[in-house]
Amino acid sequence: MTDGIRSGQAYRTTLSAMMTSLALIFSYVEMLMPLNLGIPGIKLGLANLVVLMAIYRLGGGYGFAIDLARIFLSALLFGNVSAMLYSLAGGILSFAVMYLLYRTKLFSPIGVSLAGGVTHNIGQLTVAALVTETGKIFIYLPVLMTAGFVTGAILGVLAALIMKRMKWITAGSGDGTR
Amino acid sequence: MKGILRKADIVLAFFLVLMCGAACVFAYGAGESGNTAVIRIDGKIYGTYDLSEEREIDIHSVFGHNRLVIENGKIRMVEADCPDGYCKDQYASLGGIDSSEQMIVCLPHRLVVTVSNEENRDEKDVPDAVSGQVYTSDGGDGDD
Repeated sequence: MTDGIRSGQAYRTTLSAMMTSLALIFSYVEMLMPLNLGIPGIKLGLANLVVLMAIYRLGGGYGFAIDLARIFLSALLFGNVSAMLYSLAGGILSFAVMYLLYRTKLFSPIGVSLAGGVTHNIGQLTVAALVTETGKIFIYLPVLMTAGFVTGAILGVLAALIMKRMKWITAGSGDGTR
Repeated sequence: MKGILRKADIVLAFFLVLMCGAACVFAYGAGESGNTAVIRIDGKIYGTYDLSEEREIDIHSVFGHNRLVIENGKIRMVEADCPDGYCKDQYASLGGIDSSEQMIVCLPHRLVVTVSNEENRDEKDVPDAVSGQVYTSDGGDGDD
């Protein structure tokens, strides 16, 4: 293994560009084929899988950059600018929580992803409440928390399994998965 | 999976489930029953209806057609020509809504039904119009 290349700036930049593209593709695929569970507005959030792996393999700064780039680009490319505020709130809040939990080194990617999924939906709902100026909208909180829990668990398991098998995606920073 | 999940994950999951439970109590336990249904279309009040009065409400708006029924002190959606028809399922199994934390939403038609309490309404002669009857609204005595 050529560790020199893997820790270089060019490698990190390339890898984060690839991950941003992957997250965008995931956003697009989810838009084309929405996972219909009978509850409007609930989706798997596959793009978060990429952000989660970026935190582990590239570090928080890159993860945050990928998260933000993904949100801005998918809003501009796929014409969802009005929904960007929601994505931003969910994306930033869930990133902050996931990064903090990751830094404690107590949790596996599954736990980190669980918290991310739940807080993502809390962030979106908070913005919805501010936009519509009705606190009543928090009636959906239990539903959305449950949904975030389930999707977070699915993505966490996926991320853990992928990182276990693809150990080559590493850039020196981050302690990898266990 | 083996060797991935850690003890802290389980503690976290447990904590999140507790949070969700608390959210449930907060969201579903805080409502109070009301006597008036408020129908809004596109954010503007379309009409308010007394829940103690059994009636049908036909709505033809620019967004489409909806029919609501007030029965047993509750209001529910019985007809809608929106593409998905989710609104007809909302609280249908409970016979409708009669509490301030519940609402029926027909998103394609921008129609929202909520329940509120009109203070200045004198209805002391019908004390039980909005209580009970959730599971026994029809055929409570049926022993067949």
